[in-house]
Amino acid sequence: MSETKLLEMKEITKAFASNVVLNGVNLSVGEGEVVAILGENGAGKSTLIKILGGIHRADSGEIRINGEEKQIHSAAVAGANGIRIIHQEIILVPGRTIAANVFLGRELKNRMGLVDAKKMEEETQKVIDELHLHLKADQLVGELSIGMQQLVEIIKAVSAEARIVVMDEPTSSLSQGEVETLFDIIRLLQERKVGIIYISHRLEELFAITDRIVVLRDGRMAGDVETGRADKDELIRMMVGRELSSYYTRNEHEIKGVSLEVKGLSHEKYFRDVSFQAHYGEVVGFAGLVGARRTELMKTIFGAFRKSGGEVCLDGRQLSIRRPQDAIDNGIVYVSEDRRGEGLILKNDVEFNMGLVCLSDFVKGVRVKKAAWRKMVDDYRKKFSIKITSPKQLTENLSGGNQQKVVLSKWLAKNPKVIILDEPTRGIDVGSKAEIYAIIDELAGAGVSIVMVSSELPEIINMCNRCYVMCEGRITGELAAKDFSQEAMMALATRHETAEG
Amino acid sequence: MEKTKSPGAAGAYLKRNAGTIIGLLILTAIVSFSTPKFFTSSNLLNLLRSNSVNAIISCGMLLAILMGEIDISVGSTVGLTGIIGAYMMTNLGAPVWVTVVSCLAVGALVGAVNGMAIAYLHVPAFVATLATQCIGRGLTEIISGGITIRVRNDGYTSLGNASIGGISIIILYAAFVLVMTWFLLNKTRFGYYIYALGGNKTAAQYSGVNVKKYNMLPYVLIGVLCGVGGIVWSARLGSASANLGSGFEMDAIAAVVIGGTSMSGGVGTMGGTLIGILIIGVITNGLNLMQINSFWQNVLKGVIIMLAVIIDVQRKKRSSRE
Repeated sequence: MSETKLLEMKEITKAFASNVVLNGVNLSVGEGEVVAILGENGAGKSTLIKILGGIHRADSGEIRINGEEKQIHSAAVAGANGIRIIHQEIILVPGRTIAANVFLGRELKNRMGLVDAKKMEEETQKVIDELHLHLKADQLVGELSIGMQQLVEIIKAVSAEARIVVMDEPTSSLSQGEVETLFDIIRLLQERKVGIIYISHRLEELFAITDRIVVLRDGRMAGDVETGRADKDELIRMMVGRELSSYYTRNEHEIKGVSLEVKGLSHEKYFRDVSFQAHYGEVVGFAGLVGARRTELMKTIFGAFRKSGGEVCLDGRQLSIRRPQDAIDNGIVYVSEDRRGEGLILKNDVEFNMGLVCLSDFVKGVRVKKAAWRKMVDDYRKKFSIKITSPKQLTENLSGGNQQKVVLSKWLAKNPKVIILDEPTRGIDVGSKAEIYAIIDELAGAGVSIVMVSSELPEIINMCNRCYVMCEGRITGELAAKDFSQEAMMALATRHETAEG
Repeated sequence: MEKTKSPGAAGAYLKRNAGTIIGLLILTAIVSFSTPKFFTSSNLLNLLRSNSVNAIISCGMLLAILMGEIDISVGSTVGLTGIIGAYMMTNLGAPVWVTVVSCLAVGALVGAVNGMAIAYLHVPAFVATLATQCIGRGLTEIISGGITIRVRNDGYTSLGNASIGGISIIILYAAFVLVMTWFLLNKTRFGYYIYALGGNKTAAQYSGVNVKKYNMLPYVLIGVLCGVGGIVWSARLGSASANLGSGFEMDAIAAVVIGGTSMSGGVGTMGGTLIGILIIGVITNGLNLMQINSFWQNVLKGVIIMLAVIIDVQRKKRSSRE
C-alpha cells in the first residue's frame, strides 16, 4: 500500500491481564471509504474501537492518521484528531434541544462570553438541512424517536467536522425508512471524503453500503475483503471459523389447537381493534416497521400495559390479566426486546437472574432452598451451552448472546404455554443467533406456542409458519409461509391509513 | 450476598469487605493507642450499647437503600414513637405491653404511609419521607408540649436498662435485628425481591414480581424498627423530649453507605453494613474518650464517610477494569 490512508491501525495488540483480546489486527480506512468490521461478540471489535477512541491504549502497534503516527491516549485527543464514535447506546441529554446536544462540550460563545444559543441553532439547522433531514434544531431530543436520536448523533459528528466516523450497530433500532435515511447520509459523508467504520451484524446492510469488510475472530484478523467480491457464506465461515450447517433451524412440526386468541384488543394510545390467533407448536411472526406498535401490543397482552378494550383468551377461556404476574400464572410469558433494561438485573449474577421468575417454586416455608435453584441453573447452562465462568458471574459482563440465553432460561423454567419473543436476536452475534433459532425450533417441536416479533424480515421468513404484519397500531395483513416475501411484508408494513394520517 | 459460617463464605466476606475492615482496624488501632480506656471490656460493651439503636435503624435504612431509595423519616419516627411511649406511660398510665404495641403500630403506620406514597402514588422516596419527617417531628413536639416527659415505670425503663449475663439487653435486641435482617435478605423470597427491585424494577415487574407490594413492605418494616428504636431510647433515658432521635437518619445512612451499599440500589450486604455501624461507633466512642468535642466529631465523621466512599468507588472501578 503506497498511498497514504486516512487512517491506519497496524499490528494492534491488546491484552487485559492474561486475556489477549486483540492480536496483530490491521485496519485501514481511506478517504470516502466505508469499511465494515464484522465479527462475533467477543471477537474484539469493540476493543479495537475503544483503542481508536482513546478509551483503551494498545499494548503494541501504531495508529497513523494521514500517515502521521498519533498517540491517542484520551477521548479528547481522539476528538481533536477528527475521530467520532457513535455508540450503540444513545448518549444524549433528552431534556435539551438538538442544538444544545450537538454543541455539548464545545458551546459557541458570544462577545460577552455567554453561550450563544441562537448561533448554535443556526449552525445545527445548517447541518440538518445539508443532510436533508426533517428536523428542527430547537426540538427537544427526548421528543424524537430512537431512530431520529441516532441521527442526532450523526449530526453531531458532521457538525464537529469529523474525518473518521465510527458507527457501532447504527441500525439496530432504526426502522426501514430510517435505515434508508442513514444510508443517504453515509453516501453524503463519502462524497465529503469522510472515512467511515461501520459495525453491524446484519450482512445485508454490509453488502448495501460498505466498500470493504474486515473480519475479526477471537482477536485476530480472519479476513479483509472487498465487498464486491465477498460472499455471504464465506463471511460467516470467516467469522465463526467453522461451517454453519444451517443458520436457521426449521423443522416440520405438528400444529395443534388454538392457544392464544386475541379479540379486538385496543390500547388508548398505541393500537386498536387487534385480533389474532396462535396455535400450539406454531411460530407466529409479527413483522412491521419500528413504531408499528408490536412491542406495545405484546406488553399489553402480557399485562405490563393496560388495555382499553378487547379480550385475551387462552385455550378458549377468557383471561383477566391486569399485571405481568397474571399472564405468567396463566402460562404466557414475554421475552423483552430490551434485554438490559427489562430482561436482566445486570448488577446481579446469572443464578439470581435465572431463578427470579420461578423463585416461588424454590421456597419451602419461609426459606429459599438453594439446591433446586442451583440444579436448574446448571441444567440450563449445559442445555444452552451458556458461556460463563460461574453462576455467580454478573450478567452485565456477559455477551449479548449469553445474556439472551440467561433470559430464555429464566422464562423456560416456568414451562410456559405461550412464549412471546420480542426481537429475540437483536444485538446478538451470528453464532448465538443460530443457537437461539435452534432453541425456538425445539420449543415449537415440544408443542409450545411461539409468538415472535422481529424487524428482520429474513428471520420471519425463515422461522415462522405464519405471520401478521402491523402498521401504526393495526394489523394490516396476514401471510401464510407460502406467501412470504420481503416485498409482500414491506407493502403491508407501509399500508398507512390515509383518513387520519 | 452470602455470609455463612463455612470457611469459603467467611473468606468471601473478608475479601468483599476488605477495605472497610482494614479501615475499622486502623481506626481501632489509632483510638487504642491514644487512650488506654478504649480497650476495656466495659468500654467496648458501652460502645456496642450506645450504637445499638443506630444498628437497628441502619438495618431498616439498608432495605430502603437496597431498593435504590432512601428513608430520611427514621429519626423523626424514633422521636414520635418514643414520645408516644413516654406519654402513654406517664400521662395515661397505660400498661407496658399496650404502650409497646402502640409504639410499634405507630411506627408501622408511618412506614405504611411512606410505602403507599412511594410505591403506589409514585412520590419520590426522598420527598415522601421528607414530608413524613416533618409531620412526625411536628407531632412529636405537639405531644411533648415542649417539655421533657419523664417515665418512672420500672417495667418500661427496664426495656432499655436490663441486662442478661452482664450484656445490656439493647445489644441483644440489635443482634437479633441484625441476624433477622441478614436472614430476610439472604434466605427469603422477600429479600431476593428487594435486590431485584433495586437492581432493575422493570425487569422485576416483568418477571412477575408484585413490585408495588414489595416496594411498600420494607417501609412498614423500617417503621416498626423505628418503633423499637423509640421504645428502647425513651426506656433507656427514662424520658423523652421533642428532639428525641433527631439526626439519627444521618448515622444510619452513613453506616449503610460506608458498608459498601450502592446508593443506586441492588448492591449491598448486611455484613458490610455491620462494619459501617461499627466504624461509626468507634469514631463516636473514641472521640468521646479522647475528649474531643462533638462539633469536631461531626467534622471527622463527614471526612471519614467521604473517604470510605471514595475508596470503595475506586476499588470497584479497578475491579471492573479487570
